[in-house]
Amino acid sequence: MSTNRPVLYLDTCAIIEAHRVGCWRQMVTRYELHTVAECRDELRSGNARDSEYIVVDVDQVERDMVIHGLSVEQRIAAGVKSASFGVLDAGERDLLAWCAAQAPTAMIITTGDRAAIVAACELGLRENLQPLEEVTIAIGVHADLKKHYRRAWLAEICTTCALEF
Amino acid sequence: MSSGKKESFATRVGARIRVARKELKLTQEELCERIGFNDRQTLTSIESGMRNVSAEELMRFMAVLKRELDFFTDPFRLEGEGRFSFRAKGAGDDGLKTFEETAGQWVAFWREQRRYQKVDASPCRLQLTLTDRSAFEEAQAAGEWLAKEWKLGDVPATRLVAAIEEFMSVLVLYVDMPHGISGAACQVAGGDTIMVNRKESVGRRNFDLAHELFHVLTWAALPPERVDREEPAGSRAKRVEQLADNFASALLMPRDILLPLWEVRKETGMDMKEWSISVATQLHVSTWALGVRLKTLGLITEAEIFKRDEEINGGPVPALFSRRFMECASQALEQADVSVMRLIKLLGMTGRGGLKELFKSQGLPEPLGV
Repeated sequence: MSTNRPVLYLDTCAIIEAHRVGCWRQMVTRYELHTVAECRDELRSGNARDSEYIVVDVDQVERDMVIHGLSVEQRIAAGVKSASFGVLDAGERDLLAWCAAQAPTAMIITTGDRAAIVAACELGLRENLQPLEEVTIAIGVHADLKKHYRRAWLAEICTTCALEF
Repeated sequence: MSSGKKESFATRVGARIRVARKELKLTQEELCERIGFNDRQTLTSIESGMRNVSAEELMRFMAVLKRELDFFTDPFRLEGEGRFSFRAKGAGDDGLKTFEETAGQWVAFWREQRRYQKVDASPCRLQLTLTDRSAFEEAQAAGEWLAKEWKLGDVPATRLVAAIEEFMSVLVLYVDMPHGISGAACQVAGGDTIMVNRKESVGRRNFDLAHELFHVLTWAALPPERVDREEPAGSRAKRVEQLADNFASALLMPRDILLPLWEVRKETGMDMKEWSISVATQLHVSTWALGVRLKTLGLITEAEIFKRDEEINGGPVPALFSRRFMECASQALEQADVSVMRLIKLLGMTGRGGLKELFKSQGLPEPLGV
């Protein structure tokens, strides 16, 4: 699938949040959505007994997204480059490793996790990070997003990273 | 992000390369040859954490040492280190192995966070000078001494966890264990841990805690078997476990506390069963353990020990893990030292809702970003 739409990479939590606030269909229309196989698998293994479980139609998500599989080389390259790589979940790791292995100029990555944001910065992807809030604004949806999907959250963590590196 | 993470990355990869090399019984020279290094110094630098490996080198290490990437990079696992001792009766080997792997991740997570957060643990550690030739009375004396030294008060069981954490820097966790396992101790540099099955009765929990404490206090001189199945085959192993039981018994029921209570019974003529239940409840021990202690002190005969443990009111089941551990987890999230998703899986939670409940159960605020 190759379109003229902006390319947007999402991790498992960002996909779930987009479903929670009900902006998934608009995102599919506006963006070319990508993720990795590990994130798709994590969506499938969500535990419905959890009090914050969000129903996601994973079959539909599969149709809506481009899903990438990673090579061992791509994982290793990221693992060696980012000291934070090992503290991430498998889906977050693979998503960032895949993005780091591409030419990321026109790529937007959305994750709300603090450790994942730090790892993205370590992998040289800081400029590619965009909060889900920006995405919802771009598609004209007023969404009640959780704090860690907002601009201020991302800006704060990226600033901390910039000061540390 | 804590800078300790970067510092420990090369150290971790190097240490894991050394572990894998030794497991394959390869010398440094042999591994250098297979990897294609011209000199042994390169490998020595890598193994000691002085030099980072490149992606290409790591690929070669993975192929030669036959290990996955996670083996080298995952900070939350114990590889080639950590020694467990389980108090288990009827637990299968598979169940033990699976639990050991899970528990090893908790210990590694704890140890790693303390490293990132640069928590200073004292290099000095209290040790008991007992050997497998020590008399049971010596183990009891050690238990009595520790109860006084740590000022455990009239009900030692209630202050024991705090004392272990304060004076030993040992982590105590209340966890759900597979059927048949009631307690475990893990010895690992910078992360000694005692785990107690929180679903056991209060008396059993406290006895297991004190029993495992004995192992932590005697790791060097009296290394326990990996599994104490309560009927250890080897005579030395049996001796070690009996010493641990004697220590635990005296620690939880010091003579100075028990004798006055016994005098009250004699003066009032209170029924033995009624008295036992009352005192066991007061001291948070089982009636069986109380009976054995009374017999040890020469107050009753073997025949008078209750064969059946009487139920005592132990209050609610302890919250999962511990407040100290969850404070550490909260700080790890704040410092970007673990991702939320990773923590959810590490702690075996159902999802974000489960993780929030876990923080709440320890009286902690929900960390931002969960």
